[in-house]
Amino acid sequence: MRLLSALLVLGALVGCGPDQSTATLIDAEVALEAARTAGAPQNAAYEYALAEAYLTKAKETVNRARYESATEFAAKAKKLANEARQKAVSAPNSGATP
Amino acid sequence: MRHRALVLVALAAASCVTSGKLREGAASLRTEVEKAKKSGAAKCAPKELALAETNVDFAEAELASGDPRRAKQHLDVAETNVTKALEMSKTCAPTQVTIAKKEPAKVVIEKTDRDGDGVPDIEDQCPDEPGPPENHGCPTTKDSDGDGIPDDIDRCPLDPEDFDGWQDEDGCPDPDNDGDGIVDKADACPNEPGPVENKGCPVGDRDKDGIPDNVDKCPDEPGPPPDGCPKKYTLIEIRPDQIVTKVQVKYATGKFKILPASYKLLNEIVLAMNDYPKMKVLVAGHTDNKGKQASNMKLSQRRADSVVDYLVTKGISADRLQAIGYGPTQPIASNKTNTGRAKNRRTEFKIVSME
Repeated sequence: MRLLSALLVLGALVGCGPDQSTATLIDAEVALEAARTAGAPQNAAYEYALAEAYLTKAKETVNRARYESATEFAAKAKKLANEARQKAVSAPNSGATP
Repeated sequence: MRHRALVLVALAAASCVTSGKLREGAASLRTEVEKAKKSGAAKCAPKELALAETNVDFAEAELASGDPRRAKQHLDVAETNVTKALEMSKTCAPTQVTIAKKEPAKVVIEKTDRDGDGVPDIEDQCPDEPGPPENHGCPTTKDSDGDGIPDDIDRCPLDPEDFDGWQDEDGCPDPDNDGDGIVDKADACPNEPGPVENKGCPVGDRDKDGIPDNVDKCPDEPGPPPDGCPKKYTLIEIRPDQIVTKVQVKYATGKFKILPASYKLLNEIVLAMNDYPKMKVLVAGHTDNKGKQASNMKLSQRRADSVVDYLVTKGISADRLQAIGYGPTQPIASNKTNTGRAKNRRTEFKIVSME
């Protein structure tokens, strides 16, 4: 009986964190895709590479069930991807519009 | 038995030494990264600089979570890349010429404060260690509640910290970390709020419509409050990732003005977004591949912007909408036939989040 309770608590804990990290990961992926479309790999290469690295780390971290760290990395990736997109859009040789 | 204990102590000590060395390595690499930034590496070696910077960050995070092996791997990547970034910056960065201005010598009499604690050195009994003025600038070492956090930085100096992994730096105990009214000892999810009937854990939401399964009458189909069951729409269908339109948004040919024939469709999108008040949508504009890519990119962006503008005029908050023009970059059919091109000229409504 004690073992069953322990398993129930463990099951509940495992199910608690993934939702938020998954949502943040999707947000970050959308932002990175938008940055790529706006020409960030050419016109905001540094910011784009930072965002890409954080997103990769967020995915790796979520696979290790470290959801809090994954959410932090994904949030950084999203912020940097938005900066990259903004920079790329305002670059003089950009073909995209904001 | 004693021998085994000694071995364990030795292993623990070795691990601390390793972590300490790795921390030093991370700090030193961060200095190198700053040097590379100042040398213009953001322009000359953007990828290398970014990889070096992020990997130092990752190494520190891994060390904090007690994984020195992964931290070491990140530091190796950071070192390789910062070396490359410094090397590449030597040949690419513009030479800076600084013409020094000779300024007339000034005589300044100021009170120094080496430890920056706000108590001038002349009055500071401990000029190299920060401390409050009431202790003559010396650090307060008193720890009334014995929790290891000195009283001068302990927000609850008389109440010992519980060190349960939740806000352990403030010195205050957190008997109910997630504030859900269930004390941590009895809470199966102490860091996430949840009702008593679910042992303090958040109730699941299988269809991700924002309505917890225990009150959702259709827990496997997304639907708006109050019952969580799907509404009947005629021109659109709500799926977990997208609002699928049964007809296309129509624009004036080659322009971004929405034709009145599409108002009914867009009004239904407004209805859906009102039904799901937390839904955030990405309006994605697409074109076929006829004409110049740059013009198509602009046209698709302006058309997506027009749709967002229309939805905003109907009362949807701009914070919930984002417009991106993808031009011809994401075709869903062949651009070699009229039918395929017609399919590619489209406006999509992607659901970014429901919460």
